[in-house]
Amino acid sequence: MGDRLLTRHFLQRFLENDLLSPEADGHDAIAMVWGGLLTLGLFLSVVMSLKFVFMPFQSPGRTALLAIDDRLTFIAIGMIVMALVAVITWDGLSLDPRDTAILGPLPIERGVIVRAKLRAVGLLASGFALAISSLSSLFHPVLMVAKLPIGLLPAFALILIHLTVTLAAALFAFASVVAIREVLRALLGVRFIRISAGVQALLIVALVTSFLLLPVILSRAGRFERRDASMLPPVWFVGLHEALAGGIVAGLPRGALPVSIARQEDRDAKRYRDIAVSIRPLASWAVTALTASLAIASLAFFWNSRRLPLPLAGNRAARYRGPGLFTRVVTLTVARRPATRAGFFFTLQCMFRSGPHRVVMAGCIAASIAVSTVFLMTGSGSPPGDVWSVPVYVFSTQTIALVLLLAGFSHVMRLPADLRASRLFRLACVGDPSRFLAGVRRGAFVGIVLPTILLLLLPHVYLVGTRLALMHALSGCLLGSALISLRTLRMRQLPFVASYAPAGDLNTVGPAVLIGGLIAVSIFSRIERFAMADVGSAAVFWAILAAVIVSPLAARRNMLLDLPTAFDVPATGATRLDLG
Amino acid sequence: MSSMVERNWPPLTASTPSWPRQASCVRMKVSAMTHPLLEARHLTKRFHGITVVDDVSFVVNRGEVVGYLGPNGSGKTTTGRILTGLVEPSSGSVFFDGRNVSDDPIGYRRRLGYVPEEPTLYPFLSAREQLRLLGQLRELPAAPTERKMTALLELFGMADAAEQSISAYSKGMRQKVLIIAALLHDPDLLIFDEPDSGLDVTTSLVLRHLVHTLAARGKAVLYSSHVLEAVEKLCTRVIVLHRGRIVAQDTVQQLRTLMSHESLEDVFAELVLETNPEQTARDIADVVASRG
Repeated sequence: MGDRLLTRHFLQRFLENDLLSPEADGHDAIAMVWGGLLTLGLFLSVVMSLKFVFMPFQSPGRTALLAIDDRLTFIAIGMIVMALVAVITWDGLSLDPRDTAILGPLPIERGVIVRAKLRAVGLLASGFALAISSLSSLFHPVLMVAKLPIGLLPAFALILIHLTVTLAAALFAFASVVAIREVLRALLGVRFIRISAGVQALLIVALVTSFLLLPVILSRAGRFERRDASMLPPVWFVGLHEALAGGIVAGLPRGALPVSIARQEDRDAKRYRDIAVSIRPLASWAVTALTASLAIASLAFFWNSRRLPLPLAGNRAARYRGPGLFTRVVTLTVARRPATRAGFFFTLQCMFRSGPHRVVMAGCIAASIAVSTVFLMTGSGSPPGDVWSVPVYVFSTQTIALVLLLAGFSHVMRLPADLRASRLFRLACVGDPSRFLAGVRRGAFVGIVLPTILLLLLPHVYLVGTRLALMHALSGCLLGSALISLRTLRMRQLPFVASYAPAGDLNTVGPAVLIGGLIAVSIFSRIERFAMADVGSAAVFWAILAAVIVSPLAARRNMLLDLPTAFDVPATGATRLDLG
Repeated sequence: MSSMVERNWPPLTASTPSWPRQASCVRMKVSAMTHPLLEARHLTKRFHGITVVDDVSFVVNRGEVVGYLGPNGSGKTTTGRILTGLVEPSSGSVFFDGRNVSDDPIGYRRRLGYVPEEPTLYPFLSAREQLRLLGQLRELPAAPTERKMTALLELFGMADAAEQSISAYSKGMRQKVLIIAALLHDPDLLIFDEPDSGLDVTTSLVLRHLVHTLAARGKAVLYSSHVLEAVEKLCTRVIVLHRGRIVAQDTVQQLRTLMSHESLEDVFAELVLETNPEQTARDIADVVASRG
């Protein structure tokens, strides 16, 4: 009874996830995620099964061959989603000092608490794994063989095997994240707290990037005969499926087929047999990987839980040795006034240290990496002679990466770092808030625009040559600066400290903004390519961008922020209740 | 709606050649004879029709520590927030150095130090980063502020934890950061809202001596606390609040004499307590011991 209560308590704690929804109802977020996963499973099943349903002469060999790619997609998506679930619930994956504070004084044995926590983590993983796998396991095998002469028992076996394999893959991904976390905790001890947030952010970036690059990854993994394909974990689980299902589909009677279709069927059946032979041995890899990840995660979890965690207040951090080089350079160059300095450093601290801000930025970084990878991978490997031979998408890479990252920044600016702590901020804010805002702009430039351009410079030098790459980088700097300037032009609230004002309905505005943004990026890239043809045109282009940066700043000088509106978003018709 | 541009008081910024104290000391000599440093006039605050602070008026002079007492929900914290400008009063005004603070809220805030009741700080910053941020927002000169910050962190026993994330701090450590933040700019007026909450014995004693020393150096202090013993020892005058209204306002000695009690605790009990604490304690113990 006590065990169940504790398990329920720990499951409830997963809802108190500041990363998902600070100070909001966690039930909403969980319901949305669950609904989203179920819908995703159903949507993918239906979309991927259409080809079987509408196949005029469905044959077993072709069906078996096509089904391998589908399974790879299901398994890969399930694994990434489950790993993301584990990363999002990162801090809740093990007992923390708050658990000690609440449960420590109670007359409950440590072992009971630890087991209840592990059970809660297991239930969370199983629940999400079922959400992502159940509908696809039901619909995909059924729709796949609906037109084939298959018995009830083999069809049921296909459903069961699909469910088993997708669940196993999902649990492997979840357990791997838990294992990474717990092994790091075991190795680093109390020092883990220092790197925990960084590792979490890194995993979010890696997983979201993988998700966005999934079509590219799957197209390579789908070439099963290649040796490197067998290095990808989703392929191991496709191998496990093949080992379990054997030739259930491929062994079905083919029936009467037109000659050309029959010939194609022979080729497909042979190709399927070749692939099946090459991936079936990977089943043992899948089983070993799943067992190992579960074992390592559990062992490390129990090892770390041999004592209930204590608050870290007593731990000592490194002694202060004065401001670092970066701080000194910034103080002497871009942020010489105190209020500007406050804006500059607070922006960087919020973006990369505050949980909700970091998640948004990590998502945008991942999207930028994915887009840049796709664009740059399709670029030519040798420097072209003139600008006209450079494809437009090479110019678009930097622009789209900047737009994505600054869109994320635009959102995080509206998220308060901590509303209650903003009171002290408000009391101390005795300078001109415009200077603080100038610091925010410069912080965004140094924290987002500059690193993006520097990271893309090397591939651009390889693709378009040094001179053009440098000119393109300068354009990127000016564009980034101009976008930041324009974004902060109409700002009436101080970033990171004002109460949160929700944006317009993303469902209605989002697609329009996305399409409009893509068109704008394409037009801008074409204009940039045109301007880069000679130095004169480039100078005019840069001058226009510089004017876009300067004019909002000049306009702002006469628009000093007022204190009451700088911190509080005025109530709109929807939020005002007119009580009292 | 007031602009953030400095209007009346000289700006005490990084570009100001002298440290703020000199400027404020000159002003103090001129105006000390005529105005109390802080004056609350008929402050009233209503939330959704419920009166939380009801016609509260008092003054705090330079060199004075005024105790602000009252049971939970009596309106102490709301008064503190009105005095700091975080909450607008429904009616009434706050005067600082003879001028309405709404005429120049920024100038007022430059000379105000506030320790709030809740130790709310940005959890992802370290103590030093938090203090540096507040110093920069106050436009304090960087180098002297850094030195001052280091010295204060050392004196409050926070040097070892200064680079650690505030999320790992105990309540007492957060409280210390708030106290340092309130003192960093050497304010003329200090408002403490239960500053000893969560502090260890040593720091509580240091704080009491500190408040006494600051008052002796001409600062005006409004000190709200539930520790009556501390208030009795520290405060020159006491204001007792009950259900949003002031029920007593005098020196501790005078209150004791007037109400024929030996301690402030007894005076407070007679003024605001509606239940017999001993009886309530017995009732609680009975409930604890009851079975079924």
